[in-house]
Amino acid sequence: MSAPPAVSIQNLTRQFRVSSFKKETLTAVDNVSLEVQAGEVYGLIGPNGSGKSTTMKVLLGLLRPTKGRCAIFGRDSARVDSREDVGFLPENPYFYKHLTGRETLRFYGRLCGLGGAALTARIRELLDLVDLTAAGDRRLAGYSKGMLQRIGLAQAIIHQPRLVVLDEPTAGVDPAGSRKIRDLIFELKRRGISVILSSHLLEQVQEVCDRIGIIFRGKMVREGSLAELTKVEDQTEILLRNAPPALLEAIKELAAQHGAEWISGGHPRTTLERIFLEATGYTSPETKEYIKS
Amino acid sequence: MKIRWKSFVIALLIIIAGGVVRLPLEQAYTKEMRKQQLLETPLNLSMRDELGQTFFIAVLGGFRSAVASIMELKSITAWQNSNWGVVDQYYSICTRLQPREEHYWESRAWHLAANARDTYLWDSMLSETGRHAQGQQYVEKGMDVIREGLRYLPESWKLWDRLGWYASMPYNEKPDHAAAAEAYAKAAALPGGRRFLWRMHVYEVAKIPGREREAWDKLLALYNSGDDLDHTISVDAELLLLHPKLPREPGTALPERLERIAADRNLSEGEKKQSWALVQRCGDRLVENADFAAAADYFANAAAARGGRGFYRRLHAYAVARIPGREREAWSKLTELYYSPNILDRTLTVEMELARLYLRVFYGQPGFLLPPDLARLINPDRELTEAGKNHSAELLRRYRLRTGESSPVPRPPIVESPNLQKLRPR
Amino acid sequence: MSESAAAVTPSAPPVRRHRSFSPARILTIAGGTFTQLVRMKVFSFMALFAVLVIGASFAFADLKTEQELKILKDLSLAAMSLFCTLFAIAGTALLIPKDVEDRTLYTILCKPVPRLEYLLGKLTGVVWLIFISLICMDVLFCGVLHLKEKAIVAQQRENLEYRTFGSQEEHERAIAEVTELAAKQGLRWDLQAAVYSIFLKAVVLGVVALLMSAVASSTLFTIMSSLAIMVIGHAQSMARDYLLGEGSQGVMSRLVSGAVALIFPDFKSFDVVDAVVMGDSVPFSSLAQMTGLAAVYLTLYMLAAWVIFADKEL
Repeated sequence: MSAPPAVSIQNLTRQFRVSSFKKETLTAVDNVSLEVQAGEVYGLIGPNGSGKSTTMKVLLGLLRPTKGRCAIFGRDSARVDSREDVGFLPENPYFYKHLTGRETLRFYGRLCGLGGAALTARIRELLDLVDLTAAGDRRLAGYSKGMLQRIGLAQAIIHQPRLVVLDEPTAGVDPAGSRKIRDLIFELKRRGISVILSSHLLEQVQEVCDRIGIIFRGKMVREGSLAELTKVEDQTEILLRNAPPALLEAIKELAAQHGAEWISGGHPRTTLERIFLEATGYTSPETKEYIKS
Repeated sequence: MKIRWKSFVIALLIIIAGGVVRLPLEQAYTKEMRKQQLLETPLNLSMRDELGQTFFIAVLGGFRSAVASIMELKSITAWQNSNWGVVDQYYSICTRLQPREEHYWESRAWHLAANARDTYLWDSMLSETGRHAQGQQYVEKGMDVIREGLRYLPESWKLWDRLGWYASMPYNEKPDHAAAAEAYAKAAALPGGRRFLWRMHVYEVAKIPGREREAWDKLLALYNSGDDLDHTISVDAELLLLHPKLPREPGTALPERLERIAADRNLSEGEKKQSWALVQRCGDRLVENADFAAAADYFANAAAARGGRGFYRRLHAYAVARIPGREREAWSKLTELYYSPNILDRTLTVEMELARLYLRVFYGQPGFLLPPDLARLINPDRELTEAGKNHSAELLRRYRLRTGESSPVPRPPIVESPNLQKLRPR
Repeated sequence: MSESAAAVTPSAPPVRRHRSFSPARILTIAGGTFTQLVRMKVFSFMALFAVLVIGASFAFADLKTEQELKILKDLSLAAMSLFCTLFAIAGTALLIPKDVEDRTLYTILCKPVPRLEYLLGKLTGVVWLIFISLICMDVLFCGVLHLKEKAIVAQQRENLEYRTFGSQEEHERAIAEVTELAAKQGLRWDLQAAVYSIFLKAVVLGVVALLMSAVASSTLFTIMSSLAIMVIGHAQSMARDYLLGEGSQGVMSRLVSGAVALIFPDFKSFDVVDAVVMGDSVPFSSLAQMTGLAAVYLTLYMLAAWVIFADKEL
């Protein structure tokens, strides 16, 4: 039997009652399926309220699926022991402010069944990894947003999980802090740990993710590897250097002669962003202008 | 974050099912604990009317004892302001909250029967009749409180003792010695009851007309007990006082020792000492019983027989001063004491009685003049030294206690002072 | 950073066997809760208590012996009871909704922690806090009571010196009487039974507050409903008496009293404080029964809280 995937989500549907008294429901996640292979970094992107966080919560057993099932390394998410193999960093995490960084890690380490000298060593190692050794004995009440995010990441991996779930890991973090977190994700990837992260910072996702799913209004609208997604089958991109306007005009004419349509020209843009905007049906006036030209 | 109704219903079912199981356990436990008096029986519903809402919750919350304590503390201010209605209100909450706490019954009754009674008795805003009526009313209220307390605590010797005291105390203008005797007897019979309670019972019996023989026998039993704690000097005094009232029949002869002391013959040195004390005690007894004429005789005898000690002379003069119709005699005896070369003879009581006789009996009559020093002490416009002021204040205090008047002003024609004892049946 | 990170050898995921129930995890959560409450400076209440107890021992110096000691005991035990009630309700009510609100709960429950363990841990933390603070208060209270008792006895002995007695025996008896009275109202082991009953009551209150915070998501609701249950719980025995009593009763009132008796705990079962203050002794068997009753409540309401919390969506 082959090794089970790190994450397997099958036909996940999750509905919420709008109020306790009305029958009316809201479908937050609608028939979503995805798989994350071991060692893969998976990016889940979508606008706010599209169902990313709900999917993650169901995956972690914090919510119950209305339909479908989730599993982590083959163990159903509803089972407590499925959480042995997963570390989670929630969006804007607030840990106990009264604890110091070191105490926070000790607390979560103990919850994972660690203890003694091994835990102490692990805490030292992690504080070093997230660059918080100096701040380790300060209470979290005095931590910056970026520091909180990093201590959050450290607690997520304290028990050396094979899968790490990161919900908006860089939300509200300054660019330098954001880069540090990106580096950490690279480090996790280097160690062969599977990562599933949600974000709306596309640049970052593009940089670190192997595979990407775009979720919109609860539905998985696109999914695939970065290369697959950004490859547009019926389009061809030509990148030229130092092309004079006359050459571009000539190419346009040539294309018209062969029945091809000139869609755009200009300097290359983040293709993922374009895909994302297309997928979510959003086009800014600027983009429309651009497409027209 | 939502809960589903299903889980809520399951939880409720668990609690109810558990409730069915635990109900008999709780009931048995509570019954047992109530039997041991470790848990209080539920409050009467009428409590809710009397307690504020907050207190009611606190009471239910197991703060009964603390609330009672706080109520008692709150009553102190009212007590200091002689606001007896409020004091009683606070204490009534205490007694209702903790009816098994005898101290609350005791204190509540004391405030009514002693403190409130006193306040009304000296209230210059009331007529003399009003004062006595009010005072007596509070004595009876106090006794009612004790009786109510005894319903909860029939085994409390302290409460029975208080009932006996209030029923027969000198301040009770309608004393019921039979009831007092009964109460003391009950108190004495209860576990923890002190020995003096039985003696109190016997003394009360001695005061009841028609039960002299019973009193005599009980006193004699105490006399012959051979125990100093039972055979007190008061027992001797009661025997001496009771003896003349008894018919000559078997068993009524005075014990030999008392016989000798009464006749003042063949006394040892120790017995001589005892006899002085005994004569004084007999006189005191008679004063207590308001038999001033007999007391005066006793003290006169004592003064004569024991070599005229100044002490007995003074007690004699005080007793005479209380006998209606013998004011002139009292005046001369008191004046003699006032001008006595022995400085100890000029006591505050001598001064007070002189002032009283002057102001209330002989004012304006020729031949009766208050000694000038004394006149200055009771004159409101006087100029006095610091020591003189203290002296004057104490003198006026005693005057008020004796006469019930707020200030010493001449009050002829003669009105006898509001003397409690006067109202007592002889 | 990346250099030091590189120095960390990628370790293979350790093979751990998950334990479905782990006291160590419960203690970890309890310890965190306790630390949290301590760092919320709840122990500053102790200062208030100290002022109260010491104040109560000096303030009413001119009352009777038994009055003075009773007031000291009453106020101290009531304050203990009040603080424990406060800790039990506020401690529990503040912590769980706060964990949910701050999403700290996510970080805990996404570790391999069963929800029952989380609840047990929270309760244990609050109980531990109540226990420690009760011990502090108890030690202070007993110390003050002991000193007060000694002072009263010394004072009374001095007073007796000025009184004349018929005999030495009588004098000694009077001294013995005074000492005995003070001892009966003073520091006795039975007071510990009262303190223990306060503890048990607070624990039951804590589990009730836990249940309410599992049902509700707001602190205010938890506090208000727990207080309401506390008040109703003190009337439960009345409802029970009514339900099990004889005599014709209306269907409606039977229904109401039945609901109250079956759903709410009987908080009055623990009210032996008054009897102890009055000088009664609580036999060991009664304490054992009281403990058993508390255990029944604890199990029952914990079970209900678990059923609700396990099904709760976060």
